[in-house]
Amino acid sequence: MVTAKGLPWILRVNDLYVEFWTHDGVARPVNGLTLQVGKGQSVGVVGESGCGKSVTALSVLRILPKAARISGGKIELQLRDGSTRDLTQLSTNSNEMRRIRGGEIAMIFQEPMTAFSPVHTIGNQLCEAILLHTDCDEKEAKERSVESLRSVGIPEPHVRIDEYPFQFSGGMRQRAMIAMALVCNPRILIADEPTTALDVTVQAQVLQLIKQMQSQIGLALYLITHDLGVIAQMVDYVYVMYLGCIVEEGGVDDIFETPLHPYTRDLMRSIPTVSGERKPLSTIGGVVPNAYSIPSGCSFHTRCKDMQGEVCRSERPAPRRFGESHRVSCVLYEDAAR
Amino acid sequence: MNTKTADDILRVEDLKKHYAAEQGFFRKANTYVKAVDGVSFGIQRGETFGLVGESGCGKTTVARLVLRAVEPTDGDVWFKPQGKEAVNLVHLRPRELKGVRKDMQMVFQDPFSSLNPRLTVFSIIAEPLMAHKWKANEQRQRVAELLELVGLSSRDMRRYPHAFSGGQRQRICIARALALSPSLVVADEPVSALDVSVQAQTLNLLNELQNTLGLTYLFISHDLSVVRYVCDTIAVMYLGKLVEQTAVDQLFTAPKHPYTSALIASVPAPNPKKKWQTQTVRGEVSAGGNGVQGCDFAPRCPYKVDECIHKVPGIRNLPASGAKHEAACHRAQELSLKGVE
Ligand SMILES: Nc1ncnc2c1ncn2[C@@H]1O[C@H](COP(=O)(O)OP(=O)(O)OP(=O)(O)O)[C@@H](O)[C@H]1O
Ligand SMILES: Nc1ncnc2c1ncn2[C@@H]1O[C@H](COP(=O)(O)OP(=O)(O)OP(=O)(O)O)[C@@H](O)[C@H]1O
Ligand SMILES: [Mg+2]
Ligand SMILES: [Mg+2]
Repeated sequence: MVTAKGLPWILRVNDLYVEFWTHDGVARPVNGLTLQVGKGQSVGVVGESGCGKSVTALSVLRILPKAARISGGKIELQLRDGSTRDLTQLSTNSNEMRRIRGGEIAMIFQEPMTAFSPVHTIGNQLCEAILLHTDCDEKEAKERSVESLRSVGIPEPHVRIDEYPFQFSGGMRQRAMIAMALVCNPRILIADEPTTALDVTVQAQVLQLIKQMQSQIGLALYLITHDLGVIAQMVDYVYVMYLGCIVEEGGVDDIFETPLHPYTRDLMRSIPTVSGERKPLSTIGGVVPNAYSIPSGCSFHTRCKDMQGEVCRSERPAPRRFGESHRVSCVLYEDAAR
Repeated sequence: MNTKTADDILRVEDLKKHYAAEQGFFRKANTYVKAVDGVSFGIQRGETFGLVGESGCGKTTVARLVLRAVEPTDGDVWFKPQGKEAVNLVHLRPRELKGVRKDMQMVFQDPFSSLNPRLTVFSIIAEPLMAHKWKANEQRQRVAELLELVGLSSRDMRRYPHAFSGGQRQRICIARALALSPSLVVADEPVSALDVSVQAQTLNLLNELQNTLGLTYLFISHDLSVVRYVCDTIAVMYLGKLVEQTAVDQLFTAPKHPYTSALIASVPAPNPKKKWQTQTVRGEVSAGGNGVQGCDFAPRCPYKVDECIHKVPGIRNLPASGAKHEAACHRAQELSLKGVE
């Protein structure tokens, strides 16, 4: 099985369901989500706040909060040795899962401070990760830590390595977090809004750095963001997510040039751009339903400008193929699909 | 930057706010964080004046100084409500300030924490009315009117903030800010915490309200696409100082400060075919303030020359460009920098 781009896959999420059991009832932030990441591929996931982007990523790493459980589906990972594991079957704290986190899949978060402990030096934290995932001794681990900071463009890494996270500026912390994520040569990097807190000039540098690392070590990127500009510039394949499922997917050119799903089209039209005209922005009607009461049928029907009536309320549309690698789940395209 | 247009509703002159820095590992005693360091601008009645710059450059501090929520270290803030004399807010006593304040209101970045969860929407919006001793039935009527104005329903009055989405909460904040019919609204990152779709609704609402009520906005944001969309005039801030100021189209098409040009070029275009400039400036913001002799931007500037390292650039008027255009760069006149295509 290969991905739409013809690359062999290394991560494949299939019909995933996640539930949260809370005082207010059961929230279902992920509802039958399917996506895959090819070897060395850059994949982007976009969607409004609360649509389940982060919960999906946390599921893959098996670091969901206690109240959550994976209630259906598979998360298959191809390991270095060519064998496949279904991560939903591993226990969160198993040795194998621990090795996978950091060793096979690494993650960077929106707020870099959360990735570091404030009471240990950056160097100690890097060394610890290296010692956990490799056979290095302490001296080698230290050398590798310095090297990893150098590789992400931190000046005087042999000095900075003994500093604490608070001594780094926002952009430097983000770089250090990337160094930390990549220090054990993972094969997939999950980046959840990695640059939202940064100035555009620093954002550009940090994202460029991720791209460089990708081409150097053949890393696959799973990028989560609601910034369509970042998506357009960083990834080659896009998944559009709405209320916990994928409504459209395709090559980045397809998605930006011929968005098909009414939700994707609305999303594209609602963003102001630096070169845009000053006319009223188009908006998506209504409000995002919450994860406690996902609408029936096509979950977007409550806000859709192209609602086709009963069929949208009652039937969940299946993904239809358009050309090489473009797929959309919407009744508008039932007949037109090729 | 103080062209004294007769119809400026707000004029800020050489405003400064220095905080004593905490003594720590690296900071010596008696150093200051120069959060705002000599800022001057004028806002015309009815326009939207944008203040942009990266995190920590001093935008919020400017907003708070304008409303005199913090005391300036130095400088003047002239405010001129419609048909009244200009007053210098810096010299007003608290009682006088209260009278002026109803004419200028603030909308904050975070619609989640800026509403008291224990108060009903009515109490939240009516709070400024109560402070100005409105009668109960007038309050009710005004709140109903305001809710309709911002696209909510008068029935929402009895509900609590948790029952509303982020975009709806921001509407409640806007309704509260408009309660006393201010002429100037200071909006500090009003859409940054909102989702793209909700952001568009809120920006459209702010534009509509400006048209119907003749409001003037001081609009603070770090998002260039957003300021491009809502502002008439833009000032770019870097480390506590304004580095460039001009009309919106002029700024985006013909920037005169290398920092502005770098900001514009760094915005990733939502179009995969457009090339993205990722190496516009070197490194990151210097700690700034203390001990820097030349231009604060020089360490990162690709165009720096010796002069930039030794001499602080004053603000230059660039009359050649037609519209009023000011930039604090030694090379503003000679460089031809790139804007949006
Ligand atoms: N700890 C939790 N307890 C209960 N529900 C939760 C919890 N965390 C997330 N959820 C639910 O899962 C949904 C999806 O959340 P998630 O964080 O994945 O959204 P997201 O797409 O990452 O949004 P954002 O763009 O704002 O980061 C939320 O709407 C919420 O209802
Ligand atoms: N009360 C204070 N005491 C000391 N320093 C302060 C105080 N308030 C602000 N500062 C400092 O002043 C500088 C400017 O802060 P300000 O909040 O105005 O920035 P900003 O441009 O609004 O940033 P952001 O985009 O992150 O909101 C920062 O370096 C900040 O740490
Ligand atoms: Mg998230
Ligand atoms: Mg601020």
